[in-house]
Amino acid sequence: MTILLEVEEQNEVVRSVEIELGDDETVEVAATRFAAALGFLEAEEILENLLVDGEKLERHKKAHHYDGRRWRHQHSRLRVIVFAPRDPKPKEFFWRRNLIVGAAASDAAKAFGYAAGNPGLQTFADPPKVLDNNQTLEAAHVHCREKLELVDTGGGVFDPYR
Amino acid sequence: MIPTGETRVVIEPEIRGAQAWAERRGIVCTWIAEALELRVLLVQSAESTTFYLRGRFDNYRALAPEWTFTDCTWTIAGKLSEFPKPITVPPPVTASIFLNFNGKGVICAPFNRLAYASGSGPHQDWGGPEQWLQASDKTSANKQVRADTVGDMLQVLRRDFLLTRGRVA
Repeated sequence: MTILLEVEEQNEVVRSVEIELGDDETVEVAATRFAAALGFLEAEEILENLLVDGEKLERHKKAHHYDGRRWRHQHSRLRVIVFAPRDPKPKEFFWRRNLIVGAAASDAAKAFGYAAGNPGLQTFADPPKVLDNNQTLEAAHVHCREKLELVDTGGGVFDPYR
Repeated sequence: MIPTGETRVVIEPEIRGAQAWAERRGIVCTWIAEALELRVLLVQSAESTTFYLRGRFDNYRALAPEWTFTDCTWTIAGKLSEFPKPITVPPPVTASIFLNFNGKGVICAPFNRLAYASGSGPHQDWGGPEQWLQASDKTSANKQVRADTVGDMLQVLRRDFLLTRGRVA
């Protein structure tokens, strides 16, 4: 059977993916396949919040136990839109709220093809605020759907003004 | 010497990224393709003072580009009176890249040809401007600034520009 998973955020579908599943395969197997197909959520977190026709899917149950073929997962990550100065187009990331800013910046830098440097993230405020690389995204007040920009946080080479 | 046409093929994808960056930030950024020159207007918000940031890209990427602040005609470069004056830099940035070197304003970063000794800048230790990417490897390993596309350079230049008030002289 073909099962559609819709990933929701504030009652809006932000991603969807289809998988093939045998009648006798379990909900856990489905979650593993969804995770592999999506590439940004883990099977465990999908399982924690997986619904079909308003009913929570239970672990160990087989796919044929449920009639619906349109399953839903309300994700709990921060979906962040990141711009890089080298690329006209942004990329989207689904980060855990407790991810450290520096790790998120490295993740984004890698996706944009940066091989080295001191990646950081800054806001789109005017003037922009460079986020503390040691804080979690949540502590840095990053919110879902926020737009951020990659910035190198390396310092100047020397400063004779001081 | 790299022919201008070849340099344009290399740089223009980067310029598109840089122009998208400038648009997002509301910054006026003009690419003069035939001269391989980028002109960027940066404005200090406190007193609406405009600074004229010029990048020249002949022989790019074999050589680092040449970045400086100029007068409003985009011709006279490096005067302290055309350079923004850094204020205290908050973490995580450790120091400004704008400096006064022997009475002349210099943007001190591996991606600037004028930061090298051969460009009358302070850095003999980075080799020549043809070694700018290797110099960037060294500085970024030391948590110092790195930018190796035009958009990334502008981002770093503006980052430090926002931490300036008034002119050096």
